Amino acid sequence: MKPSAKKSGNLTTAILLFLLTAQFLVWNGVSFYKKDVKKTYFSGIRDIKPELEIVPNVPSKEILKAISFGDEQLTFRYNGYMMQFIGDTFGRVTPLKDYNYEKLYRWWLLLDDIDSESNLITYVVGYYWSATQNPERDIPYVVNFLEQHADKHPSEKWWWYSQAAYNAKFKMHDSERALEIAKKLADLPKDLDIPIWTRQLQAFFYEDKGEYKQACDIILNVIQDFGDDKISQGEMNFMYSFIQERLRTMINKGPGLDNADISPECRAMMEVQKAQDLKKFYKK
Amino acid sequence: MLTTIRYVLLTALRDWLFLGILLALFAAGFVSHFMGSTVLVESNEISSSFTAGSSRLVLVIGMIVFVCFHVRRAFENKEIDLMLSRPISRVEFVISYWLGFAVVATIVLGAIGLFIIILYGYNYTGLSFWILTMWLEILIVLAFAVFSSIILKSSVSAVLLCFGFYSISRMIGFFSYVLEKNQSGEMLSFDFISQKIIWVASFLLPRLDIFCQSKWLIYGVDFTTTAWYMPVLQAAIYIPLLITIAAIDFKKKQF
Repeated sequence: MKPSAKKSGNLTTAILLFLLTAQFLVWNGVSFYKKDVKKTYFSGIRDIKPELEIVPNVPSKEILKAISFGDEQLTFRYNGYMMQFIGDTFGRVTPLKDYNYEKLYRWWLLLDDIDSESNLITYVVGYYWSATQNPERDIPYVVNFLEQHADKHPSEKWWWYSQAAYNAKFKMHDSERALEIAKKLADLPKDLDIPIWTRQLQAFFYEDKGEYKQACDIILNVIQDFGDDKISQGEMNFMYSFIQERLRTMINKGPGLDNADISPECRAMMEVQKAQDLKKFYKK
Repeated sequence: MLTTIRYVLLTALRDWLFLGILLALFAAGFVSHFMGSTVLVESNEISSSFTAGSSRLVLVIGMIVFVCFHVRRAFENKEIDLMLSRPISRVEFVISYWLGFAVVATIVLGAIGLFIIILYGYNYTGLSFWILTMWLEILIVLAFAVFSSIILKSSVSAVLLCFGFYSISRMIGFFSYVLEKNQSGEMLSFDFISQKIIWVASFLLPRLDIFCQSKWLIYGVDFTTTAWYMPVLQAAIYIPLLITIAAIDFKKKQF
């Protein structure tokens, strides 16, 4: 081997070693221990970890429209799809209590603003996100969203009022909030073909609060408004037993029927002897 | 003219365009269907929306790349010189070239339509309108691709120009919205100048964002709120405009 070739080979090896050493320092960083105290001059790239956030930051509506390239439905569906899986990616599983529900709520509202006809987001919110392990902190967001979604098309989306009322009552333990939503459900147009329990829901919540007067009035209203054609015999039997067994028991435990603060119609209703007799309360 | 159209069809077959695009469509449809099947609710809606969106991209990207490289290669291989030696005017040649590409795109779009009908054919009005506007959109894109590959000497530049045109045209509705919301009154400021540029661009570019919306596949077309005639008008204006500019440039070319 010629001396010049050997010299060139040594130079190449030295350059390679230098570059590998530099790469090691960039990867590891430079730090020394001085009197048992670690002093870092330069932290290496191995300390830079990818940021695996649980809930991504919420873009503005305008940005979402811009990145949709004119097809907002596609963007809605993509982000709706993401809503089901965020936080559970790259082999990690995040418990629902660790999610930022305030951020999630803003995502839900943003997507619902793009397509309020779809049940994609509402379904995931109602049946998945509502299963949080921290209901006191997180369920108010769920209830607010379900109610706001239903407010946009109340007649078609009445089911989500019922879900919001259920979550408010049994997860938030907020009877007032549950009653507020149940009232919206009961106030839906009378010609709407929805189950009769949606009209009675307030009565059950009042019963639970011990407010027999309001519970009785609600049942009376339901019979008066829907009794002639929409209440089946089975439903009528249920209302009879609700009045006779549940409300009467509650009143008897309290002031007693004679002293109870109930309307004359309610009192008359409590005195009927069989379910069929409730028919006389129908409002013609 | 028919000979040129046949020539374009043969080159599409030669370049495996149909097979390539159909394979890409099949893959896009498969992935979309798989993703749709993993959601809790409305899986058909998600799958159809993803399939429609990805098919649109496959068709547009595939056709842009095919047209730009095809035209430039025809120039470089002197195929154009050979074709122009026949009794055909240059204007006729540009039109027949665009028509050839349009036939290719229509065949591929027919396959996409069939694919979506088989998988998610539950809203025929929406689907028909989606296919019609997709057809008009691809015809505009093809006219632009023919125009850019004739005026530019590099296929890569032509492809990039087409992608830029397509992206901005699909976003121009959003830009116009922003322009209306934020008007800068300060003359000659950066905001003022950029607003004027966007204003001019919104006049010059077609509103491709009103074409093929995947919501039509799901909810159908509400003809009371959708300006259904706009895509037709846009295509009726832009296709002749782009073909004319391309023909003017082509007529002036020296071989």
